Parts: sequence; structure tokens; C-alpha cells
Amino acid sequence: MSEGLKINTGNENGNLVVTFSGLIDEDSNFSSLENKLIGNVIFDFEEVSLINSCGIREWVTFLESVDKGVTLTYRNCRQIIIEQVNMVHGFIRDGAQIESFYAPYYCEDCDQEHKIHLNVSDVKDGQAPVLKCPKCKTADLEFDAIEEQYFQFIK
Amino acid sequence: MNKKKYLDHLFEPIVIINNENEIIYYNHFFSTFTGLSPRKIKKIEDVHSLMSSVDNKIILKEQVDKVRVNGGVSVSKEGLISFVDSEDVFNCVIKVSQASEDEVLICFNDLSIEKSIYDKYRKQVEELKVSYKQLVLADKLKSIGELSAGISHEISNPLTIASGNTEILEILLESQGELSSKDDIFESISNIQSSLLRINKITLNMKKFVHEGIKSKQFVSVDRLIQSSVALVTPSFERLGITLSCEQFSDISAYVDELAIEQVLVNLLKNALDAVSYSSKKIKEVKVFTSLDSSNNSFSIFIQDSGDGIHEEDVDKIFNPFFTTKELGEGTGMGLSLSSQIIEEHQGEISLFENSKEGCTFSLTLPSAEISNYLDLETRNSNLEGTENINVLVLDEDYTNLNFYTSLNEQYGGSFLVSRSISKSIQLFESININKVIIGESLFNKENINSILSLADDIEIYVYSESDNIDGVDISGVIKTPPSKKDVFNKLELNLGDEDED
Repeated sequence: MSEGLKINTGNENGNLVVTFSGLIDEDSNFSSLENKLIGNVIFDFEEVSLINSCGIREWVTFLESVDKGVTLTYRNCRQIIIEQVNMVHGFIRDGAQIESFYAPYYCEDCDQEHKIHLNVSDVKDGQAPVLKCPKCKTADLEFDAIEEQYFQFIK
Repeated sequence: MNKKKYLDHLFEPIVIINNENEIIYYNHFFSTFTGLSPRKIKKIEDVHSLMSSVDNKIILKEQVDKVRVNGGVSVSKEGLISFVDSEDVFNCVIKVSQASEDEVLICFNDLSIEKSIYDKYRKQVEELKVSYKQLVLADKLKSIGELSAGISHEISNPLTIASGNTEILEILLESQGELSSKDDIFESISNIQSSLLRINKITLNMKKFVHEGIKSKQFVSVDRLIQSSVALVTPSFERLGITLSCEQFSDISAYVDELAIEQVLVNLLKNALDAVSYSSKKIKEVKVFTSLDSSNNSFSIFIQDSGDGIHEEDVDKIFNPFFTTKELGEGTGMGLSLSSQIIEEHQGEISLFENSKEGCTFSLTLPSAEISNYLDLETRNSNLEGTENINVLVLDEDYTNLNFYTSLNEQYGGSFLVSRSISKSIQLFESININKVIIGESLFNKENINSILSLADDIEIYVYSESDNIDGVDISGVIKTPPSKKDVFNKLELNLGDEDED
């Protein structure tokens, strides 16, 4: 049995914030959100550690049950979430927006990988923003994925 | 568009290598799947350093070499692999194929989730099996608990008789055991013995009922099944002054798990007892009777009570788990649900046959012993009707002999079809290729056995007998009773299982 998915809800400027943490898999149960999602809703993926194909199925089914009048925003999307958004039709529904996400970067000087938090507005013309290494503060980071593929969701 | 670009749209990780084993292409999903960034993949000089087999079931190098030499496709076993710089382990099948003269395509089929769900499913099924077993036992113990008042009364009666007779013995022995009192002493001893035997029978019945046992079907007399169930509940009926009557049963056989069916019958009888005892009617009785269907392919046992019947709104719920109309703590609501499962396992049906304010009748319908045995054997051997099988028909009236052959099926995978009825055996001849027939001597001497013998021109006939020969009869051989495995296998020239054991 997996450690499971935890779902917490909170309020931010009158908007409902739903925080997911743990694994999204075949045991994930979204029924606690039934009839709670109204108006503007923010999904926060900061604490999600894994999503597998069965979890994707559960997620898509859950999204289909959400009232069409609800405005959805995805926040703090981990790399695994962005990969699913790019690959799976229905992982993010029409009209929903991604506010912020994590992108893989690499510092050659430090030989260290970094997951850098970006806002969608930071990505111009499908190009990853040029950033300094948060550790050595001097070297430019190298984007550690294929930009065309990774930023597909922004199109 | 480069043809390889099409591979970027696939949800399967794919790598293409050249003759130097360098990765010259990987699709988008490969990077996502392995968690390796393009930078890391670029550094890999030889594809064989890309991954390692955790359980040594997949040897990529052998697959690649084989495809380079022979062409075609090589598919690996299912095995565990891990990629460089990663602690994640994947359960994969790897498919290698020739992409062009100097290119080899490697495709990873990730089965990790299927495996994990399969393992989880297997574990849950095992847990369910254990729970079911516990439920069945709990139901039996509950039945015994409910019947215990009646049973203890049943035990205390012979105990009182035995105790009284020991006092008589004491008095007789104190009077120096005069010759005239010798008969009285023997009579007292006989009374004590019969009382103890009666108690022993009751406790044995209880012990047998709660015994978990191995699920095993046997040929049994339906009469015996009913009588042993009735024996368990009779004291409770007597204590409450309720009549329990059983009709004179016809000679019906069943091929069932005896203890399981007994549990069903006790449940139905207990329910009938409750229904009648709660009723305010003057006539308080429960009847048990049986019937055979017109084609003799099934039989039914009916349990009829003179209670107040079941409310219409409850009729559809009575077989649901945990449904009960009894007071809290009096019933678990599992009796009919478990009974229903047990009967379904026997390809039978349990139903509320009649229901009115005058009482209700439950029916329990099971396939005839011959059909049950046939279905059981068909499930075990999967190709009973195949002409290559050696199918042996055993036709006998003796239950011990019949069960000897069904045990050979279980232990050695034999194909012994067993029957007590000449007419049903004829039906078997019509649908299955039977090569040999063993006939019990009692049936062999019956007139209508000729209807079997006329069907069996090319079939070897063997007869059970206590003697070595049967004169004047054209048969292939005699099998001595009681039968032994060695004798049967030798005479029938069968070679099944371990020959040493007898």
C-alpha cells in the first residue's frame, strides 16, 4: 500500500487553494473535494512526489467531475506534473492556467542539478530564462531538458 | 520531417544505436521515463552502460548481438532494470530490432505498474480468502453456540442415565454381587455404555461440524446429509416443542463438500426454527423434503416452516451479507449470504421457493452427483471430451468405492467418471469418449446392465468382485474389492502419479 495522497484545502484572497502531497496513484481518492470546488480554485502540486499512469487516470476522471464553471489554476507544478501536462490530453482542461512550475537546470561549475521555480511569464518565445546558479552565484545555469518539449504546455 | 521524429509522439521509451553501440537517437518519452536529462544521455558512450539488470533476467548485450547477427526481433524476459544515476527500478520487457543496416532500435515496455497492481490484487485476494474462511468458521461457531442449550440438554440426559446406573452398580456390588444380580450388573454396564456412546455421537457430530477441513467433494447420500444436519438441530427443536419432520427420502446421491452443505442445511433449519418460535401460530412445525427434477439432472432439498413468512420488502435482501431481521446481537446476517456462496460454489442455487403469511419454504437445488462429478473433472482436466484421454467410467452403488476413485482423480489427475446410476451412465456414454468401464458386482448382476454393455462393444469392461474370476462372462478383468490403487492401475494399464504409494 502506498503512503497515499493527502489533500488539504485553504483560502487565499477568497480563492480556494487545494494542496496535494504524496503519490497520485491508483489508490488516490479525490472524493473529499466533491462539491467543494466553486469559483476560482488553485491546485498546488508543491508536495507531489510521484504520479503514475493509474494516478493519471484517476486525476483525469476527477477533473471531468469538476463543474465546468470552475476556473482552475495550477501552481508549483513539479517536473513530473509538467511532463504529464505535455503528454496526457485531459490532464489540464481547456481554460485552465498554469501559474508556476519547476524547471530542470544544471550548473557545470558546481556539477549540480537544480529545480528552479519559474512563472509562466518568465518563459519568452519558448526559451528558458537565463539564470545564475543559486549556489555559486556566478555561473550561468544550463537548461537541463529539451526546451521545445518541456515548454510545450505554454503554447 | 525526419522519420525518427514520429517516435517522439509515442508513449514508449525508444533508443536507436549505431554499430558502435552509441546512442544516436532517443525519443522524448525516453528522457521522461528514465529521468535522464539530454546532457546525461549525451555522456553515455556505450548503450550497455545505460542500464543494468537488477535480477539478471535481461541481458541487453546478448539481445543486441543476436539481432545484429540474425536480424529480426529479440524480446527479453520480464525483468527488473535500473538506469545509470538512478535508484528507481523498473519492471520491463525490452524489445530489440534491426532499424536499418547499421542501426538497432531498442524499445522499453514498462510493466512496473501492472506488476505492482497485480501483486496488490493477489495480496487482496489472499486476504479475502482468509476472511471468507474466518467468516465460515465464525458462522459455524455461532450456530453451535445457538444450538448449545439444546445440545447440552441432549448430553445431560444420557449422563443422568449413566450416573444412575453407576449408583445401581455400587448397590449391587455392595450386596457382594450375588449370582442373581449378575444380569442386573450387565444391564447397568450396557446402559452406561449406550449412554456414553450417545454422548460420544453428539460430540463427534459437533466436532465434525466445526472442523475447518480441506474442501473436498465426495459422493454422499442426501439422506445422510439431511440426517446429520437434523441431528444437530433436533435438541433445539425439542426444547422449544417444535415438530421437525423429515419425509422418507428416496435414494438420491450428491457429489458435494459434505461439511459445507451440512452448514447450509443447519443454517436453514435454524432460521426455520427461529421463524416458527417467533410466530404466534398454534401449529409449530418444520418439514424437510426432497425432490428430483424430471430429467434426473438435479435434485432439491426443501425446508418448509409454519412461521409468519418474510415481509415482501425484505425478500430481495435476505441473501445480502449482514442483512438480518433479528434483534441486535441475535443474528449476524451472514448465514444466508454464506449459504448462498457455498451453494454457488457447487453450481447450485438456493432460493426462497414459497413465501406467504402461512410460512415460507427455502429450496436448495444442486446438480446430480454424476453431473457435479463430470463438471469437477472437466474443470480439472480441461479436455475431458478429447479423444486422446483415457476416460474410465466407474459404475457402483458403494459410496466408499466411488470415493476411492474420485480421490484418485484428485491425487493423480486421473479421469475416473463416477456414477451410481445405469441410466445416467448411458448419458455419459453419449457425450464422452469412454475407454474403460468398471462395474460393481451388484450392478453387474442387474438386468438393465445390458443397456450399458450393448453400448460398450469396443470398450474394456472390468467387474468388482471379492473373487478372482467371474465365470461365463466376457470381461477384460476382475478388480478385487476393496480396491487398491496398485491393482486398479495395473489391471487398467494406467500410468498415473507415484506408483509406490498404495
